[in-house]
Amino acid sequence: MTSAVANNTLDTLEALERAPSILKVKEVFRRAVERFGFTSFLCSAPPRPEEGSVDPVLFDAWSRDWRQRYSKRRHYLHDPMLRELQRTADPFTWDAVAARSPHSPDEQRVMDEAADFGMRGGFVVPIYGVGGQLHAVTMTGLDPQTDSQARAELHLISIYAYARAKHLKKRHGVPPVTLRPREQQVLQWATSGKTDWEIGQILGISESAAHKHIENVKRRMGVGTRVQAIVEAIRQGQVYL
Amino acid sequence: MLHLIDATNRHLPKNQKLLEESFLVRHELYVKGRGWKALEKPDGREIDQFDTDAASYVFWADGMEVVGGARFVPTDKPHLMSEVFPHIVTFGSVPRSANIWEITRLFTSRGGKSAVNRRDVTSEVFCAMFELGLVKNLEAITVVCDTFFLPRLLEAEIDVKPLGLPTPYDEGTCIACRLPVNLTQLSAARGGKRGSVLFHIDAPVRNRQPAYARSDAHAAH
Repeated sequence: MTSAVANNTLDTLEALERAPSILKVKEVFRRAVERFGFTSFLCSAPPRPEEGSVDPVLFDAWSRDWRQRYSKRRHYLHDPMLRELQRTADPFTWDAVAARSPHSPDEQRVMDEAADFGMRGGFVVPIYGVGGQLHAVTMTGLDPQTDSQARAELHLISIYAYARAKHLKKRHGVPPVTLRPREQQVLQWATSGKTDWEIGQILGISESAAHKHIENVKRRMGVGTRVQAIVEAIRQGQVYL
Repeated sequence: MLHLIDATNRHLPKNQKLLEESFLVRHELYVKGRGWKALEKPDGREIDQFDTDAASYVFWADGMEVVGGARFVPTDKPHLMSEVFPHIVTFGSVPRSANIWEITRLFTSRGGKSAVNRRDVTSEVFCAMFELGLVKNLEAITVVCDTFFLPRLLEAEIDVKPLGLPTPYDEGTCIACRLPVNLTQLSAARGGKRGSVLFHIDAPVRNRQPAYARSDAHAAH
């Protein structure tokens, strides 16, 4: 490996470690992946089908239109890349997944639509953090470089970008999210340990409506679990113990 | 309780026993547990060319049952990175210095009689690594490890620098790293949850004495 390549990667890692804001992390990351032909990227916890499309994002330069389409059409139910994340902890390319066994029409549709949005080539880096929490850094482009050297560099860069973004998010906390009246009521009962069904009974709404309110709060706060939403809401003084 | 074994005290019967125990535990974990046949030896003791007098060991033992530990070899001697994995060091050359030690065989046992919390064991051995580094005036600790450890270390605010790119092997990818040794690192490793485990580090330098010395002196009576 040439020392020019080494210096490039080391410079990127250094810039990431020093980045004072998530915006800066994004900028450094973008410059690094663009060298390989990647133009979009996303670092987030993968959406879990049973919870709908809640996906706490750490940083992204991801097409809003695509995200809306993905959510509206519930592509997370059939996305072969999400399935791959359950199968392996190692980085993988979209090509490798696409080339594997035949895909169902639903799976194929997700991949075809992504291509329509200019996302033909992709590379995904699964990252397991403290406590086993999974985040994935996904990057896409029209025709990116994905040889083994490129993959190794991108793997390393993704890890440092994730770590810095996580650190900054922890340090600066979750920005205050103003709860809507019903959300506040539902979350307050959840804080006392009530289940969605019980909350529904208490407030005269359906169980799924109660569930939906909590999911909305989680998404707007950018947290992954109910407990985190409760902790944040307490911290922000919007619910009480 | 943590024990430090090196050339100065490995001849003591208690330490010989602990060392022997550790070779058996390593066999269980690496040969039988992880299936690393290359490490298998006919006598069931996992011991390799780096288990010499140049090596130091930290063991967490519950009585005489070894439940966790790590091995350290000064990098100016032959060690794993220099002898077996030099090719994964692509940012510059393999660090070689009496003040840089490589850590290998960092393990926590599974099963056994001890009910000690294994997560605590792992954390304490990790803290012991930095305490040892500070007491021995080390510049850094180097390691070859699975790439998946990197995010966990970074998230715990441990400063770790890669010495090369992640390199594929049978079970995923591995990477050579360098961890600077300093009080900030020790503090990060402690995570605000524990105090000294091996050496009384919070004291000023001249008062630093090994935490184990008293128990060994006691045993010598």
